[in-house]
Amino acid sequence: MLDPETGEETAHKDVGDVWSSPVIVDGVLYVGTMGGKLTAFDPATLAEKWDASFSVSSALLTDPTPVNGSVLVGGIGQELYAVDAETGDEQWSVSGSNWFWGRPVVEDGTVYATNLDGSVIAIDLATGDRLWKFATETPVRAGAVVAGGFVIAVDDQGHVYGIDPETGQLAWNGPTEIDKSVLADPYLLADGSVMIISKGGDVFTVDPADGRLTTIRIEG
Amino acid sequence: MTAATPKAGRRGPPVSLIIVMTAFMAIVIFMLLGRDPWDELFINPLINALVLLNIPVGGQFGLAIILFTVILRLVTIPFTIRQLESTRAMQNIQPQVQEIQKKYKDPKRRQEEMVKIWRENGINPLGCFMPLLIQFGVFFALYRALAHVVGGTPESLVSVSQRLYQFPILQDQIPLNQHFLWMDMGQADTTFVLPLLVGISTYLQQRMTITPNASPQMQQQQQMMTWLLPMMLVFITLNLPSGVGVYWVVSNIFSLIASYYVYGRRILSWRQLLPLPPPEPEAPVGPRKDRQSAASASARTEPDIEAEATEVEFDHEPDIPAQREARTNGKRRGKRKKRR
Repeated sequence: MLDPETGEETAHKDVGDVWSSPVIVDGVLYVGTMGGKLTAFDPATLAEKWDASFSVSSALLTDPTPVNGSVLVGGIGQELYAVDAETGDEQWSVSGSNWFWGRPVVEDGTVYATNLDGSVIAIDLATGDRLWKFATETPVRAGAVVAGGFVIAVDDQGHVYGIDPETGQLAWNGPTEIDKSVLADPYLLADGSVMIISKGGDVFTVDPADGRLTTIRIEG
Repeated sequence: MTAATPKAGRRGPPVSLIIVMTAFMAIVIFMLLGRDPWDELFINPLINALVLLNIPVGGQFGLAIILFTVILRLVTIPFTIRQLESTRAMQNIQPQVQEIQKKYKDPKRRQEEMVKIWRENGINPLGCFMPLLIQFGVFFALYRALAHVVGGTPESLVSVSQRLYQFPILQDQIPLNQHFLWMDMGQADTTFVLPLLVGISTYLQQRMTITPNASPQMQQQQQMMTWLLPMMLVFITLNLPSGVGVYWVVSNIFSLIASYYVYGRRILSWRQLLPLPPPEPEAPVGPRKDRQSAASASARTEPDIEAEATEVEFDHEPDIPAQREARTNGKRRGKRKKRR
């Protein structure tokens, strides 16, 4: 940990390789590691909060997502886990056919998770029941976002999908095509549109209502 | 006549044909299924094999590459031995080949005579290419596989996720520990050590297969190749993932061991390993008549040339029974002359 004023190191903890972004929510720091451990720390002292880390045999890739007393995390083991935010115990898990890498998103008690098998999965946060599965054309590395009443997902070949969160069906006439590889998570902008950054640095916005694409030109 | 290995390459065509036909069938099937045959047949199995071999070597991916190379070379050892024997047999018939080239000006007739000699000596010229084909095929497939497995980019990992078979034991190995000794298996070795090792080992391996009795023109070509190929590989390795270089070095070491097995102690000769000039021919010690005859090459008959060629080969092929017999006969002839 670094002091935000001076940049000096205030605490240090070796946890192994970490590919995901650590997250601080309600004064707790959650770190998922490539060694398959999810650990909760006190951000000030880096003292562990749980008796033992939540541990699996394969690497954890998704950013830990704390919501409603659970922390969602998934990875190479093809499982998405809900872990009790207080104790670190597993609450439920859902299997995919490939890796979970995109950041999961939660809206109205439903988890929307993308999988590298080329799918978006809706899961009941409370029970872990799978509600629906939407198949994309190619694998999905980027996480989904919820915007304009739709679940927006983009696959690694740049097909953008607007999915009805109730039915799991494509809401638009067809996927909007960027025709560029997209691996980064999309972002929800203040005006309600969704920003997508493709490989190579091109930036696009998508209108969630109809999937209309706008290319953002960055000068300089 | 020089003794060639009668079995060399004899079983080559059917086995090679079966392999080629099987590969062709598999390619057609994958194409019909709309899958990339190159990926399905080579790259993906290779990626999974490398990840699997990562387990017994304690997660050291560099060691997994070495283990993979050793296993591959052991599996293909019949091809390697056949290639070396074929090369040796080709070396042994060089005097006859040269004689045919001198004797027959008509290309068709020359070719017929060549085929006849190959058949008599059990040589299949194509038999030399199968191990090389396998080695180069693996070289390029490994290059492609490493670009995915240790590419170090999110894109390469997404690619791995699509190529790795759905077994937890394989999935748990990702990400691979790509640091090995001073190298990063996914990056080119900028210390120049590995490219130099590739160059030196390839050079030594090339020197093993030099044909001692070849025509001056052929020898010149061989000399050029012994330098050209290693130099090319040094520059190529400078731009390839280190894992490919490690494969090449280990493979070359294996080839050197196989050459020792087939050629015997000959490969330990400095003259064979280094670009030293050929040894000065010993002064003839026979009667004056013999010396004159040796000096007049134009007057030589075919048996004379064959006998001379056999004598040259004695320096390099001490283990061939027919040569041993020929040498014994030569000694007997000398004794007879002395008695006279």
